[in-house]
Amino acid sequence: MQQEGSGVMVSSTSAAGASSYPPIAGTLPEEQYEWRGAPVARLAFWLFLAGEIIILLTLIGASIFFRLTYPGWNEASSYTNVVISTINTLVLLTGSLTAVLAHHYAFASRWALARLYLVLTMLCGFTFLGIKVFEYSREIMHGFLPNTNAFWMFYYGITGIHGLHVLAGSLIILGVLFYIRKKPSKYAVENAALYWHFVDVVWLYIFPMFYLT
Amino acid sequence: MAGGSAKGGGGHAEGVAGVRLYVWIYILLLAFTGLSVAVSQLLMDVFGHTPVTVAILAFSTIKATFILAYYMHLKYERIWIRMWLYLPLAIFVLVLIGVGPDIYLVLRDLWTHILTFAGVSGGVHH
Repeated sequence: MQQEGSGVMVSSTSAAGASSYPPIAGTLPEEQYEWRGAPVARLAFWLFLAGEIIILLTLIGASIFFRLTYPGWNEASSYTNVVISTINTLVLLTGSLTAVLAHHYAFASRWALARLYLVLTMLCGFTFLGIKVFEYSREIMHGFLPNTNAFWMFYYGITGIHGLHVLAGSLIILGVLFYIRKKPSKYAVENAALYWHFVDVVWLYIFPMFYLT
Repeated sequence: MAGGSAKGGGGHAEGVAGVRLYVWIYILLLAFTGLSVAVSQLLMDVFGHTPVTVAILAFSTIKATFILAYYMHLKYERIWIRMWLYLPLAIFVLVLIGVGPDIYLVLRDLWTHILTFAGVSGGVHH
């Protein structure tokens, strides 16, 4: 039997039994909360990501068009380190692979493997941040500050916001690791992995804009 | 039915893609990253900054599409999920239309550069 409460379809056959009251959130298996065939947990997280996409798309879009017109961009970007940033790209892409594997094994209910790959993803996040701090310190020591010129303003602004997102992603994964010890939740793992992939996609545009061109 | 369908439902991760596919996509992502670095280091002096930038951003878009489609499973999702990607992209397009005159000026210079490189005399007249 299906009941509809606040537009969200839930099954009332198992946990809620024969009660005529709508079940309280969290009392049913998580996959039974859905809206038009899409799990509510996933739908809600994509709604959150939509807001993030708008913020970062606007910033990166602004930097792309600024780069096409600003004559000093090419010279300024030649001072950023291609080797360090390429290593960081590989770290993030590796984190994406481990994140999707954690997602995969969580849905297969192989929780030991899911936890292992989540830990590896989190380590990729902290490795990225460590390398980024080293890179920032090098640039600051060479005298490149946010007020040096427009390139460095965009550079510190966008890579700084992205770095905060990587930090947030790593801490979210840490939180999920603690959470699934008590209550295995495949959607908690999925949403942590989705956030990581989003942060990775953003970096795929930051990398060429500030390091390669 | 709640959650159990392979396409779009809650249990899609084990149903639609396997570990081998994820690893192949990872290899592709690494290959495109290597290609981007090689193009930026070897072809910048030959073709100039703007065409190389456009090419590398195209590689980034290919990589992003792979991640969105397979790692984020949008290829297998229902429209209610994919909508949350399309909506911000649509808003971004509206912003682009709003700043259209500026973009026209930028692209006019870009095409002039490309046509001049290709040997078309004068490029785009303006």
